[in-house]
Amino acid sequence: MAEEGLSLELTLDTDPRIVSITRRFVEQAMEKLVDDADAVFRVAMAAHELLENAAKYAQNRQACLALRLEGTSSGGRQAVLTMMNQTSPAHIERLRQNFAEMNTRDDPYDYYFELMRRNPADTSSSGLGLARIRAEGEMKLAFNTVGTQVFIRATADIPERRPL
Amino acid sequence: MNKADIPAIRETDFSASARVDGAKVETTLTGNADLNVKSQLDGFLLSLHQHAVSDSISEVVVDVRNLEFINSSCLKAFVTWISSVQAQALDDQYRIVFLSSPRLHWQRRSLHALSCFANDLVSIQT
Repeated sequence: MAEEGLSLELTLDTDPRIVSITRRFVEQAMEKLVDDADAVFRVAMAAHELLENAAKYAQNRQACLALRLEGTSSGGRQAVLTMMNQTSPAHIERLRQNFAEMNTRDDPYDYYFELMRRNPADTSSSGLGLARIRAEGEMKLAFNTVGTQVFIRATADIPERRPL
Repeated sequence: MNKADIPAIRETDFSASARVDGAKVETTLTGNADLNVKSQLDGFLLSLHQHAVSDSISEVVVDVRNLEFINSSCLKAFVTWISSVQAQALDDQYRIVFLSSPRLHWQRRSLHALSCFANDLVSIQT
């Protein structure tokens, strides 16, 4: 895949106060190379949700966020966001179940609404983050683990740059 | 016009306030609604709902035109609030109107999702 001018990797403290600062940074970096504000929002929102998950569940208070803008084999462009952090086996099992369930639902918005209707009075945890990335963010999600390290990858198609 | 008995939130990066105007409550949210203000937003929306029910409010206007971003946890706080309204007897329910800005891209997608979740109660004005 051809690089498209953006490849960044951030190792972050998972302090919740850092999350919005990082989202704004991702937004500003994307804005330099992507002239579609909606696509910029979708990727920045996904970065925020993934980093907030890490803030809640990372074991060593560290997370690594990587963002690459790359060409696709079909001549288009995509943004690839990867979040990596250490977490507990119990959280990995929850993620595995969440992904397994999500992957059985073809329509991202139907699944998003299904989760909204599930325990709406429960304010302790939203459980909406990944489904939001998939529905509102129009992103494909993948999940992998190595021991207690978890990798979540979110991929979005990005419109071609308008000619100058 | 009365000041509603709903404690305002004033944080560095987020604020929320409400005021009563007859049978209507006007609320304004500004800044960045993320994990740092989630519990305060839960409390704010709970107070707002209690006030709306006890004072037979017919409409709550939520001005988010200067709300830069909302995370999924705070979005869930709105889902919880809207569900509380849905759980009321029909006569005790009130309408929720979001005032939105096309300048902020989260609003088109997230507010649309909220309106689909409760299209009989929630509407969006741009």
